[in-house]
Amino acid sequence: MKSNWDEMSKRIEKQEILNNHLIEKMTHQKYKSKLEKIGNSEYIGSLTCYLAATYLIINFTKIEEFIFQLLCIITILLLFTLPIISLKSLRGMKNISIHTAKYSETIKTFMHRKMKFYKLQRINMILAFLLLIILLPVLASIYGKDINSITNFWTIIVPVFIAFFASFSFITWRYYSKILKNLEKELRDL
Amino acid sequence: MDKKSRFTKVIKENEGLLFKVAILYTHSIQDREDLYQEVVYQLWKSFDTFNEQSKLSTWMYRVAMNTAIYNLKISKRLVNTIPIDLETERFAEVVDKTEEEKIKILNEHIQTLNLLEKGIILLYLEGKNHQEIASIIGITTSNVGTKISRIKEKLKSKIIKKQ
Repeated sequence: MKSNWDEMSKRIEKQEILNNHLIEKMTHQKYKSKLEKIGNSEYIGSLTCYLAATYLIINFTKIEEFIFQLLCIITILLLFTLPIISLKSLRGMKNISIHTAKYSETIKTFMHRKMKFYKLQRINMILAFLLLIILLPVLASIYGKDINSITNFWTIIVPVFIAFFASFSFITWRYYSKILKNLEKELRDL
Repeated sequence: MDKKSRFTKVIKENEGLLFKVAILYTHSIQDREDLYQEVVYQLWKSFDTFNEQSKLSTWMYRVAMNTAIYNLKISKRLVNTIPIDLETERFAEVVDKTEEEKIKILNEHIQTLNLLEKGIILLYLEGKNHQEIASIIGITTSNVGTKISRIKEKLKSKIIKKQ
């Protein structure tokens, strides 16, 4: 094992991958650290949520029935909450000291934060499901449509939609749970 | 010698170290390039704070390995990096297929280890003594010995199983 590694090291040492110019380029401001850039998709998602919430606030007066007004308020609250959960979990992942921490400390912090991230993702998933269910009647109400008049709305569309999302959630939940279990095991080994 | 020249010299002298860390913590050439550059960038950022009293290689391993852990969560390429040639094949200057295959198998099996094991075995293979490994990893010296024996056994059984 060691002789194979030494063989590889010897070959690597012989080569010169970097030159002064390349190293300088890597340290240049033009090169933005990946770690500082993560989360672009989360920021776009958050912006979309806030835009949707603004749309609902502007159109709130168009909703006449109390029950739909209540659903609209819940939807707005969810649209504000989802990005906060997502961004909070992301921020947690970014605050580890690369330069001074010992390797085992970094692994521990990373694992803990990863676990927190997945737990929050699970909460996010349930909230997103809730959001999808209540958003439909709210939008119908804004556009002045009676959902009861849509053919097979309650008998086919809603049950199929719920069945689909429930099975999707179940699979995703199990996937996250499996990851969390593995992370816990790795943490115990440390 | 100014800061930039000193840094360039240090990186050039230790580029093999960075390359090996990049190999062990990534699965594709693209990820390897990204990690390599991320490590160089992080080293540059902390170059001022590097304490001359501590060993240069200890500092480099620590930053490189910590950066590698950070990098794990990022699956997509989100920034423009500078194209560098980090294909392992380019190192096969002398074409020895058996040697090449052995190195490949060893790397494949190390890749399957967990983060702690991977870090320890990397330093062990790099010829670090138990004390240095303990200082970089942050575990006791006696624990290093136990862990190395376990990892060796693990790798051995994996390699035998594959054959």
